[in-house]
Amino acid sequence: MQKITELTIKKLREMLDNKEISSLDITSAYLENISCKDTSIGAFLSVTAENAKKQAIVADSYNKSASLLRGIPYALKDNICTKDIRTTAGAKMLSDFIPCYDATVVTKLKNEHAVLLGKLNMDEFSMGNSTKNSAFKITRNPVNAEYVPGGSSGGCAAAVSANMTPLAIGSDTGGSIRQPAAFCGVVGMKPTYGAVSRYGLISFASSFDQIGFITKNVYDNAIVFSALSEKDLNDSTSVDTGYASECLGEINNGIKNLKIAYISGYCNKSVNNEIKDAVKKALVAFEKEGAIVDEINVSFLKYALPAYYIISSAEASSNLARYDGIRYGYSAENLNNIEQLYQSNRNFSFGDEVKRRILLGTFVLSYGKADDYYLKALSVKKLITNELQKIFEEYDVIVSPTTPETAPKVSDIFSPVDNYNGDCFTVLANLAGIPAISIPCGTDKNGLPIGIQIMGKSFSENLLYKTAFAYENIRGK
Amino acid sequence: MEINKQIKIDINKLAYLARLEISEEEKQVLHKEMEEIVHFASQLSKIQDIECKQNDDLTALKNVFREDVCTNNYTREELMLNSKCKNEKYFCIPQILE
Repeated sequence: MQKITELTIKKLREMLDNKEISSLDITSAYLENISCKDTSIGAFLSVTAENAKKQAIVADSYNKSASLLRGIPYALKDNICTKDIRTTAGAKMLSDFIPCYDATVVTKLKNEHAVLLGKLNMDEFSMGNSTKNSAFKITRNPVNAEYVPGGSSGGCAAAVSANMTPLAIGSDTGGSIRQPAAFCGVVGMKPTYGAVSRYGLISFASSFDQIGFITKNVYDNAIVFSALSEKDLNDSTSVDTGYASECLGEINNGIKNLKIAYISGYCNKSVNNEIKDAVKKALVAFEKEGAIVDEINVSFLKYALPAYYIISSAEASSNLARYDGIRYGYSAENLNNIEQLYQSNRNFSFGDEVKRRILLGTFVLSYGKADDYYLKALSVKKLITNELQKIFEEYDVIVSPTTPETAPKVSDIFSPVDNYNGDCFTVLANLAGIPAISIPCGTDKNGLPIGIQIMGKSFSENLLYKTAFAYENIRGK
Repeated sequence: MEINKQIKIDINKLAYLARLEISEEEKQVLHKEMEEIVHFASQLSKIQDIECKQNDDLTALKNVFREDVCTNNYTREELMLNSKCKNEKYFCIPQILE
């Protein structure tokens, strides 16, 4: 018999509705798993055990309801604000920051009577793709603890992969949900920019940041999307997504005649052969289900990475200007000069990668450089968005590897630029604001998971879930 | 428009603009890393101007406006909870006027 913590959200929902199990049973099982496993994995920055049990008891007091997430445990990336619960964004600057309000996704999850287990580790302010940039601790990949879980939502992917939560809510600015999902063998969705409210998400690069979900399988992910996608008056970039409520009804419709464009050849870094083979095998499987696959080449895509890093760093340098240590955050004592206070607080508490991004952002926005870098990057962003739109006139979805390599070892050290190159496939969806999902499609010779990415045009999450669900069924999950 | 291969990075100026007080030791490491990163960012210089002349409408986004509506009330204590630079009622900073 499967353990409670191995069950999907769908199965837990059925059991809860049939009164075969209580939310308190489920919550207790997860809390026990966290206390057994997380010492070696390090996914959680805080576990809200007592609060979780209270929420579970309340959820159990309701009769069968329309809410799909009632009584289901979840965990949050630690850059999503939770009232009265420490929210650090993985940063020393915010090591004791306690928000006085909930992010909109948290409010919605509370209204659904879902159960918060705790907050998850991440790269500082989401800057990184290994979770090694956390100011607090390293998170390890549950598949093999010698390897990183990816990042920046590394705690999210590790926690779901190790059955420490059935659902993790993360954020994705350049691949921060999809890349760790690929490294840990779980499903990660970055919805369309605006499809899920970002109110209460600690900002990194506001024109790319998007809240999304990591789950064990595609169906569970679709459940969460249908529950949390909604226009929010507190986030002026959010939009009406009435279609989200239809995604579960459409998920099993199959992919006959689906037109798939496959991109493999633009990457700044060559793609590992095992990953290429796994993705090609997946494409054959798609064809067997009736889909039509063409390999395509897109000229401007090689400029996606530098454009992404210029724009995101520019926005980060502006967003992180608020951390002066006066209204909140780390503050040095006994300094008599305001300039010194700013500089000292920021230098002491920001990590190396955050400083590099702030400096790059400052450089590309500085006098005489903005035209050559920032405005040019915006032009490239627009060109890439237009190119992708043209592809979507002919094809329904674009498929690529999620990452050019599987997870590196915790002990591996890369230069900043080598690290950036690992994001070559994922940044496309953020530049264009389109939805993208990563699902497992095999393992390499070391047993490390490989992810395949499926992108669609804006507001096509239902199609992506349907496509990913069809593939997952072929793989026999 | 062409970005020179040798781009001068004045790390002191950038650090000051970003309000970061960086030690001499850190500066050396950061300078080297920044050169590598800026070189990486300069790949965009390979794209000819003719392909990027859409600067007038780069984001294609429109501002969305609505009336301000007060929905939540916070107490002064709640809002100042996270500050370490405060007295009973105000944020406190070092003297800025002589």
